[in-house]
Amino acid sequence: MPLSQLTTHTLLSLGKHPLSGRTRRAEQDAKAFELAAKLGQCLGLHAGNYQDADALKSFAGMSIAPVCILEIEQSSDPVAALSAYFKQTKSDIILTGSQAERGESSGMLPYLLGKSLDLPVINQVCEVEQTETGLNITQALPRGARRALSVKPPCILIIDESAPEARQTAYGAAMRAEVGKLQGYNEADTDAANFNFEDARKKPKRMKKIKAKTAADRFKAATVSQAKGGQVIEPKTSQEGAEAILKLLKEEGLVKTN
Amino acid sequence: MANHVKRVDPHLERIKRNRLHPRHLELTATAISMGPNGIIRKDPHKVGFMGPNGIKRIDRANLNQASGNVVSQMQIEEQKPKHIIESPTRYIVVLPDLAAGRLSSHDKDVLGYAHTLADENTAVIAIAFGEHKESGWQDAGVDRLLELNDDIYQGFSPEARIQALVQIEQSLDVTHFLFPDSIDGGADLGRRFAAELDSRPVTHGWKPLEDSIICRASAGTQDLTKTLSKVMLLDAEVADPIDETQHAASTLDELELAVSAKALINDLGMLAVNPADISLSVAPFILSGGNGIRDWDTFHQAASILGATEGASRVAVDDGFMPRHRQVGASGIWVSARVYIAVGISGAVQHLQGISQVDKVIAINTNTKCDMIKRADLSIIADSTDILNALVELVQAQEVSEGESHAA
Ligand SMILES: Cc1cc2nc3c(=O)[nH]c(=O)nc-3n(C[C@H](O)[C@H](O)[C@H](O)COP(=O)(O)OP(=O)(O)OC[C@H]3O[C@@H](n4cnc5c(N)ncnc54)[C@H](O)[C@@H]3O)c2cc1C
Repeated sequence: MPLSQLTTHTLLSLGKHPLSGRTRRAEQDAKAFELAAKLGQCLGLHAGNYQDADALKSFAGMSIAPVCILEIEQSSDPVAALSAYFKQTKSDIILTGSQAERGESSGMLPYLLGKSLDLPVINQVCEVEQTETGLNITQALPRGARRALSVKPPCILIIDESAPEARQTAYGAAMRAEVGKLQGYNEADTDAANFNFEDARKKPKRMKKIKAKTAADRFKAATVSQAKGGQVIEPKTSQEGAEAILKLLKEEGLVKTN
Repeated sequence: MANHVKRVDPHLERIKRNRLHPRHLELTATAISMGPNGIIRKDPHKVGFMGPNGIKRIDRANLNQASGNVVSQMQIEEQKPKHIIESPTRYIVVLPDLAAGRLSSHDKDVLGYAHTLADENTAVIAIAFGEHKESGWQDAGVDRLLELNDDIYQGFSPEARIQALVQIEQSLDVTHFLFPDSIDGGADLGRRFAAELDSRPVTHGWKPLEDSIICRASAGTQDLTKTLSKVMLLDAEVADPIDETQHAASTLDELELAVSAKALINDLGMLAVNPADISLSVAPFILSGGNGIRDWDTFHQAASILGATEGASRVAVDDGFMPRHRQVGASGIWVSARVYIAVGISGAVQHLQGISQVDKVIAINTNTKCDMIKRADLSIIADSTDILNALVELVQAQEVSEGESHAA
């Protein structure tokens, strides 16, 4: 199955500039769209209101693939609409970002979609490559580590921050683009109707707690420095010193033990 | 007359009062000794010391004796009140990340939060998937421990882990499943599990209220108050970690889990990453060189053979031996490595600030008095080039012997 025959959908959402608050493309979704560009036939899909079409043109301005809105009401659950859509329209790969820039932003959408469509979900994807039997995926782990996974499409891939940067959007191409329209399935999200958003409060800095029971202990905690100081070795040969270092590195699992 | 005059050597008295003086312990030596007949004798004249105004002082709080303090602290730790739940009726399950095999501070905060939700019949279970090196479960607030380290749970194995969690949910009365909302695995597993149970989770919960919790929304720019849910994903510092009680951490073995090994996602193992490509701020292992490096070729060779990311002090950068983006410290990059080897770096405050997040520091320096040695967990007092050369030889020799054993 050559790559070009795979059908790919990228789920797009509206972003919000963290400082100005202006509507923009969601950066993570743009990265997902960029990755989809390599994977053959693709469609950018947004479940929401058609009024947002203008804002979504910034995705169309990337000139990767057409962008389409699956129109649902304000109070409807996008997961239900997308799930109904994908039950009718088969897609080999569904690419998403990890978290929306607006609203609840719980990052649950890909997982709920995976559950309702019964598809495997892979998170923190930074590279996708097609093989004879399926897809080879590189997963980005903390501290710069990478893991190789393989999966057979259809599947859902959640893009990681470390995926390749998205290209810029071209204003002219964006303005000329037509955003498609599809009728989506409506199912009300009753919990979300009661959500009350406020501006983020500042998180207080955690204080160092002194749990001294006696006055003497309190006095000591306030005056005596807590300097611990480690092991100091004055090796006779440099071999001896190197061995001590290697021992610690092996304990930490940074150098292979034999 | 002479009998009435108390002769005091002010010099010795001052030494007795100064616990930092090298002869302090010698003079304040114990007043308690073994008598000739095996009876413990206490010499009342040796108890205490003369205060500055000639009044005798008895140091009952043991403030003056460093060694005495260590003993009293150990006793306090042993005396931590025990928190024992004999026959729990309900459970709260915590899934620590165990990044690098140990409980992270984020994990401990989540365990602390679990105890704010628990009543006297609720036990907190920690589930450890895969291999780990943690031994401090009791002090972190774990009442029951479930270690699942069969082959099917190793590596990236969300499908097996979710199956196990679902079966635990069915067989025990669990009020909450708590996950750290972190990229070390908790964020992913928690969301998978919430989707599996089809219950709307608390995500990025950071400030507990009475029956609800404030969560970060809109990618961190807004707050949203949610009621407590079955599955909760919590930010770091959601609650204070447990440190005043000792918990049983007994194994939970009455559970029979039947998890199938069939998985749609295959883990093909970790990929080799060139350490030079890892950004310095997140690199797990850094070899950093300063003004005490005589031979930079050896330094680069050692870094590549050990598989360490290279760092440098400002002097090394200013002198042109290392590029600017490798500078560690206040005006460079703040690193968070697990192990940081400082070769020929004196430990100026500006440099130490940059390594405040580091777990273990190893110093190689010729000067025993320098500040880096006070910060270091292991210090080698020797010439930098010699030690680096010896390290390279040692690792190479090991690789050769490994190669031979493979060939055999
Ligand atoms: C505003 C400001 C910001 C700064 N920001 C930073 C910063 O971000 N990062 C930073 O690193 N510095 C910073 N500095 C500089 C800092 O104050 C120190 O000057 C610098 O860290 C010292 O670097 P060093 O330890 O490599 O050199 P030195 O202080 O010269 O130390 C060299 C060390 O090597 C040891 N040594 C010598 N020969 C050998 C040998 N053969 N084998 C083994 N050990 C040997 C010596 O005993 C000594 O401890 C800043 C300074 C200022 C004023």
